[in-house]
Amino acid sequence: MGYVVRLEVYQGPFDLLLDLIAKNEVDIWDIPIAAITEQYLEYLYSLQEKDLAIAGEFLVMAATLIRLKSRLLLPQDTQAEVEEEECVDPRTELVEQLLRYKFFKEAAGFLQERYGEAARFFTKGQQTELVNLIPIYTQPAGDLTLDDLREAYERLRSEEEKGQAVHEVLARVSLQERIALVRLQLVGRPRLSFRTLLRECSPGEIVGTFLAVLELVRLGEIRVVQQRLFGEISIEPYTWEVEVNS
Amino acid sequence: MTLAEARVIVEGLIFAAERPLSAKEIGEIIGLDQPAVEALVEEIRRQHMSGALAIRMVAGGYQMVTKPELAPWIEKLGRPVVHAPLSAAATETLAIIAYEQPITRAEIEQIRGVRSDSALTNLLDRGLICEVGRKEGPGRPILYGVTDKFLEHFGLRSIEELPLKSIGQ
Repeated sequence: MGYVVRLEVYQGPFDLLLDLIAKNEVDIWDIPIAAITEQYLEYLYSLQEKDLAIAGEFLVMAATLIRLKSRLLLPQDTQAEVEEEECVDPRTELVEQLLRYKFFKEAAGFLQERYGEAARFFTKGQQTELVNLIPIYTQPAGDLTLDDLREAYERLRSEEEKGQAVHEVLARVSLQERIALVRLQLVGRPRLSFRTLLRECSPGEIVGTFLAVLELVRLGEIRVVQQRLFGEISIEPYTWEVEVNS
Repeated sequence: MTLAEARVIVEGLIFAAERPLSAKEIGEIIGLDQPAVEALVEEIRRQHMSGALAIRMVAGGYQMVTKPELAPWIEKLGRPVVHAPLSAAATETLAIIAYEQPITRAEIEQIRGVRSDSALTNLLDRGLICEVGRKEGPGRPILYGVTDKFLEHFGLRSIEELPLKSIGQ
């Protein structure tokens, strides 16, 4: 079960404002600035609470709204009252910008629709541009059960308990030595699990063994097989007979 | 050259062209006038009725395409890069450029109210827009416009097919 946070995504402050205006069902030419400003800021606070970064443009618009709000609150001076006829509503500029943006947002919707329709026609040239993305990573959850996870955890725990002693001495690990050790353990065995090789190893030795295995693969002496993702890694001596048989 | 031969040549030209081919261009190649080419294309269209291919009119020219009802099958081959979905930011930016071209980045950002450089880069990469010149004035900013690829990808015959600007305002 996932934990889903639903958050509306806005393309910018205009987008957010248009949505607020639509939600409040108010006339765009008579925006109740005080109420809208409050809701606008609420949205920004909600972003902040979720620790989301707020784009600078949203803050600029917040400042614009607050300035508008205060201008509308201030009593108009007498001279302005006289010229009331010509007095321009301080909201006009914002509204014009909003309407301009709204048109292009709708035009974008039209394009998006056409895009989907046009995508049903294929031309010859596109064949070379096909993206055939084949993921090389497959979901581990596929055939991995909860029991597998518990087992893996318990295995780790038991190994941890066995190796309580902290390796304080930094021993030099020789790669040649590790290679020799892996070769030795493989003698007379058809295969060996990688985990067996790591038994009672210090971190340094684990790294050394890992490198030894890589080196032996490079030399063509062994091959490494993993049946499934995160499954057991088994090491097999690599001979031509093995190759022919398999 | 018989009419039947001309028809085959026209079909070959439309098939081979990498871009929509206009009737004028075709006419210049085979030495026929535009109405004659249009009539030939009509005949080819009729012949294609039962097949997998169709000729569509886009970006002022003819283009051979697979029939739309085949899309679900062809998509199983893989989705072409050109059909990868466009983000909302990119589509908005594209709409502004289509209507207001030539236009500078600053002017686009003025309308959208947000920075649009990544949307512009995306559109340039897809070849849907291109630089069309520089605006006179401080800094001589780059002017952008839409390309014929834009018309092609949106199935538009010409820029006039965009909805009227007055409707929205």
